[in-house]
Amino acid sequence: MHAKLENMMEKMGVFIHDNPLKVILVVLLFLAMPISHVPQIKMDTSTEGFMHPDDPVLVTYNKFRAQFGRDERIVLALKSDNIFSIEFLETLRDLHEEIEEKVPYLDDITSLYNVRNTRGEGDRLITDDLLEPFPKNKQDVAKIKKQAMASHFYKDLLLSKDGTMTTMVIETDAYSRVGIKEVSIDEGFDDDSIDSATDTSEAENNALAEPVEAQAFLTDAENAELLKVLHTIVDSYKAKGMEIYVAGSPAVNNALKAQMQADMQMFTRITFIIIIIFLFVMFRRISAVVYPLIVIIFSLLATIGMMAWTGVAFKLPTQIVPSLLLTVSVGATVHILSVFFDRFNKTGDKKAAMQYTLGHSGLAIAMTSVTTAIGVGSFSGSEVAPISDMGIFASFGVMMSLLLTLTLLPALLSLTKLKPKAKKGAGKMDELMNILALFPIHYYRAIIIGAGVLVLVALFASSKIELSHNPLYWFEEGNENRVSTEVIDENMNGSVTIEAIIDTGMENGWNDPVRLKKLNEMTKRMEAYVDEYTHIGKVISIATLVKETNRALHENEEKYYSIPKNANLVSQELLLFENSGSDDLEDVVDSQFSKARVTIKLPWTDAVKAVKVLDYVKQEATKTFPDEKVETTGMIPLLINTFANAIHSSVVSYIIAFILITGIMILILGSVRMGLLSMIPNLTPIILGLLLMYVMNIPLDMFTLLIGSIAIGLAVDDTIHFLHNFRRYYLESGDSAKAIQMTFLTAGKAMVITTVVLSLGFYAYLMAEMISVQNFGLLTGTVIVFALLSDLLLAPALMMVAAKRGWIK
Amino acid sequence: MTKKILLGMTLGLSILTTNILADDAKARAIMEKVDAREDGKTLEQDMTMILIDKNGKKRTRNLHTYGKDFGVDKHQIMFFKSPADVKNTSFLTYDYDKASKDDDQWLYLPALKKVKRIPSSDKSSSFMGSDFSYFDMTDRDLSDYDFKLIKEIKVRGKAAWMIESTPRNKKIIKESGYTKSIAIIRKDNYVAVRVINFMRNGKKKYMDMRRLHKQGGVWLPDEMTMTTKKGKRTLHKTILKFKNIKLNKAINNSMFTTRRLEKGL
Repeated sequence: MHAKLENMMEKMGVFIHDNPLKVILVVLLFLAMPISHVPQIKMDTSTEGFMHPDDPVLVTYNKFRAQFGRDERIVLALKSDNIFSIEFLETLRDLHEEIEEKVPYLDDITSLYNVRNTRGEGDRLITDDLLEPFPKNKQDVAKIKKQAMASHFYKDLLLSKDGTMTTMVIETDAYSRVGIKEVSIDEGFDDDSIDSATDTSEAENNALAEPVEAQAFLTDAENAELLKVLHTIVDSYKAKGMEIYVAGSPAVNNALKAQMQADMQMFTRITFIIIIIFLFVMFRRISAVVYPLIVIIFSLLATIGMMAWTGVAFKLPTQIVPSLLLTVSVGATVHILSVFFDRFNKTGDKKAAMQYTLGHSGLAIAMTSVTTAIGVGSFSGSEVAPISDMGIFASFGVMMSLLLTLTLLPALLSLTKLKPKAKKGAGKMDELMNILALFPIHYYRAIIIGAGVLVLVALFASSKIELSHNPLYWFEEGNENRVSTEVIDENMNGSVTIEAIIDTGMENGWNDPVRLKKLNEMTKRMEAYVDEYTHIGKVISIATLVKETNRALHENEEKYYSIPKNANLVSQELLLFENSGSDDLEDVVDSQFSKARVTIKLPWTDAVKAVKVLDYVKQEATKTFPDEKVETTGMIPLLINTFANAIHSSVVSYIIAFILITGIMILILGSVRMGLLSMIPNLTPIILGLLLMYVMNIPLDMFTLLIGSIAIGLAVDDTIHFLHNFRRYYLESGDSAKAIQMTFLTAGKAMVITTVVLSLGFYAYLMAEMISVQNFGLLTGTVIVFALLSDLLLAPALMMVAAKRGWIK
Repeated sequence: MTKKILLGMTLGLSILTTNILADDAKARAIMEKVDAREDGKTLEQDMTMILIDKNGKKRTRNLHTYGKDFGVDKHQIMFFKSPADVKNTSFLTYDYDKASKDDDQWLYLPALKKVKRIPSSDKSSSFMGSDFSYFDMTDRDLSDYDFKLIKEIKVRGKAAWMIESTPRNKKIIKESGYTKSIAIIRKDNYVAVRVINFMRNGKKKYMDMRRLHKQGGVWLPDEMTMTTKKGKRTLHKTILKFKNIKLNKAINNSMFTTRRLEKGL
């Protein structure tokens, strides 16, 4: 079987050598279709992009956004010991007005400048903004300070407990303006027929009931634009000596995505350059640099084109695909080039060298690619949409790279005028490989025992690695974004929210004092929640607003900060509130008073660990309102759901990948025993990678889990190359020591070159800004080295044993 | 020094001239006629307020209102008739012509049996939870604005002017909540039958006087709507319908007192 396939490969080598132009033409025609679609590729960095559009969690969230607007808020915190001074309040006013005027997609901004200050003073009911009229002297300021510090509503929302931090809460538009035309002054009235007859009123009363066409929600690009303007304004105030922090999930996620993308793009480029330099150093031939690059770029373009063609957007997890294709393509092309040039330099016969190379390595390369494709393909079953896309398209890309490595690369080599080069550097490399081969031949027992001990230690350590997903810690300590969130969380008791919707299913359901009282009590219970990872800082609902109005109507007496018992009074108080100039009511209840929104504020929390608090909120609300429909939603629950799901489903994907790869190894090696044995050098580098994570304190999060897909690909590639060659030489000579030596000189050399090139390429990521990207480089680079060590030490050591026992047939 | 003064004067002058140029004499003359239009001495009517939210859900409120001119100032009292849970909730408003003096408002909640005074300087706030603001319900001070005639058009078959008004300073913008307005004035009767109000956050409010009639030489609305929109999307809409309109009927001054508030209809 093997011999037959290898024979076919040899024939293919001859055919390509004789018809290079035809081969190139066919390959280019084949690539033309997907690549022509590349310009249509869409980017989608949104969190919603992680979910299938019909996912019930997303449907609930979209319904929420349509009713109450975007739940995510940007929090701007100003720290000062003199918040209550005319000078500070003036600066606050200026900043507030500048933001209101200049920041795009802004829906509402609330600060001490314009927050409602509903209160009773004698027989007067005052519903003005806090700083209206603006204070003129110290007495005015002192009075405002007293009111502000006494407010339940402001505490932890706009003013810290100790009064040294105040915030501006920015709500953005829920909907995107992409593709929305400006309405001209001649349209916009419901009755567009300006010249129509006089009385058309009755017929139009129902005009609003028409379904509004579906509109896209605010895009990431618009969010980024908004934050850019905001940061420019904030920076100008910081320059004047103000201490300002910007947090809230829109700001944090925006910074996260921007920085991640910047890092990934920059270091993918640096990796390319490093690879170019080292390929040249190793081979000393321009062709050995340019041709692998052509293979990498074409397989990448074909993959992206395929995504565009099938309408799949480029999302955050798919960012890993270029790195994966890079490693796979470099590995495959280096194996071809290494064997080809060795042979060519010896004989000077291009055709024979080509025939030999494809016959010798073609099958091994095909097998490594197929296993890698299956390994990453196991992610295609993930429930998380973009991770499933990553699985599908990464495995497509790997197969593309294989195709090009076996066709385009030899065709290009055939076309190139080559001169055989006398051995010089390569001779030294051969000497090195000979020395390296001695270790597993002589010390195979020690190696196996040593590896066994290491693996045991690593397995023990890896059981201590916690599942986690906390992107805030992807920023370095001291990073502005991280510090801002930490400072605001500490002073204001939180910067992100969970939203609960309690739907009574009836009109005026929330005018009912009994229900409001239950809501009020639930709010108090929730505010006392603490678990080992987080706590609830503040809860805001319609109850807050009713209590406040009730107290104001009773001369601000604290005992009336409660829900009145009289149902009519509740209705009248709400009517009064509607008339008071504040539009805060629409933030807490729908216009029919049937659905109440409860906003639960908490500090930024690890997504995996926040599952507990989210469950608590769900349970508490369902328990308190058994007859109403309770839903929890919001961007943070969305993130929690997505990442908790993604992490669990990735773990499942890995298990499937390993089972599939074991099966293939058994098939390739033609023996169950050998297949299982081969999984030892396959798994060892990954397990040692986990040890590294434990030692370096790197959490097992969404990003590190994706890195694993690259690690699998590489570890398996090295093992297949080694075992494939070893088996051939062993069956030829019957001498395991000699077979190891021969393998080291052929495949082994290519493995060393690949490892040096790729690990250096990935170690470049250590200079990145983001900790997550640094970890990506460290882990991938090190696992590549582990994989090489495993196949230069452990795999041959195991083969020594296997040969002794006569397992290799 | 003289140079500086000269420079200052030229600068000041140029600002002044641009200001004058931004204002359009013909448009101002039209607006003056709108402002001077006879609107009666007293008015009593039933008002139905239909609030329609973005989902098309409706809420209806019925009120009975009385209004009277006291020289340049205006007094108004409003009683809720329905829904039942707010019945007899009432508001009394003294609207002063003098810009420096804030309006006075009193409120009576029958469930509380107390009159409360609500001093307010914020005219941009919603009128009874509708899309109309208190500002929309009162006359504008022409000296606060620059006017520009945009074009002449037809509205429901009637010839009209389209006039843009721009507030002259930030204070007026803050007070009214509008950065700019475009009014459509009917040529035959100087009634602003349509107005587009531009707000800061990209929202626009469209006022449409859908039906009006002439009574005792005064044009009075029968029905008007205010629609708050963002782009083409309607956020909220209010329909006001007026019935049993009694113009210039004698109304006793005691109608506009807090005691009357407590008494109810």
